[in-house]
Amino acid sequence: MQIMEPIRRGAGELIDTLSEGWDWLRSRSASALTRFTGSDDVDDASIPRSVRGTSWGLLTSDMAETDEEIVVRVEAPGLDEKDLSVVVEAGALVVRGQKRFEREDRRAEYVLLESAYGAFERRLALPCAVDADRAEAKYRNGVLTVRLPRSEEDRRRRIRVEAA
Amino acid sequence: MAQYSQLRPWAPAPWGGSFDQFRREMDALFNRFGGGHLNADGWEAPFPAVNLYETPDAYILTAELPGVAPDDINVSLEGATVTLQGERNIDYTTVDDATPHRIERQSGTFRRAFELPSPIDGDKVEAVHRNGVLMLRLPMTPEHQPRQISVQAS
Repeated sequence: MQIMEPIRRGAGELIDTLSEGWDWLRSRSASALTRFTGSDDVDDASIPRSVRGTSWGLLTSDMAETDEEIVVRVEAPGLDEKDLSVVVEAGALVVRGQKRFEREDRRAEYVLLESAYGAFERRLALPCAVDADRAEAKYRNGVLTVRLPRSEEDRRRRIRVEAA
Repeated sequence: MAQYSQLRPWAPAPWGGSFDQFRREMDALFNRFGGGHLNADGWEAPFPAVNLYETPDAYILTAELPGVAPDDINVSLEGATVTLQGERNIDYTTVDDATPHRIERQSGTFRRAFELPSPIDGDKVEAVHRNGVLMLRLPMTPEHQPRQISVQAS
């Protein structure tokens, strides 16, 4: 199948069956490459087709830990706070959101459309248990910063090394 | 009466979708990132991601620049070419002695230039920055705006 050849060459993996292809796509959502699902039933025919179906975007992140907390930052520009949901689920931080396609002028014709729109979800595995009740999330300049205090039993404790 | 031209071979759909859907998603993936380099960890895509659209009297350009301060973005215009460049400095240690665990965000300089189909009135360019997105409104010079030519009956 023609579409498989570039995947096979580029990804360096063998995707021989459709289910492997789906698995490959699905595993991509555990990394920065995220699937955005636009709504297929948008009536407005002047909205570009690529925005209506599935599009792909990068929600890059970084994670750092201290003795007291885990700090996660995810880049998700162009959102309103109300369109973002942040939860801790089964040992992972799950960021879900909805990026809305807005256009100020209906007569606009697109020359380039690189942004992804629609519903997305990004899961980041957490290295330890956290106290979600005391977590804080802030969204500024397109970056979501989540501070998750380690739960009591998972605090990092330094063990002093003494000369015997 | 069944229309035979519409019958397609049944194929298993493990993800609840059909092959058509899978292929559309792969096409979307390659269209978006296919020009970039694919490495083992993911895709490198041009930074920033840009949307450019044309209205009757202006070009609107939006660029996604999360985590970049407006002061670090440099926009310049030369004739019909608009250039976006700057530097992204990500502070990887948000607190003292934090151990970075997983880093995907990259620091460094970026530069993208776009040649627009018609020249821009540099004095009337507007720039707005919100939620990590820079929006530029680049009005076309008056002589390049489309003009209606009235057809008169002779």
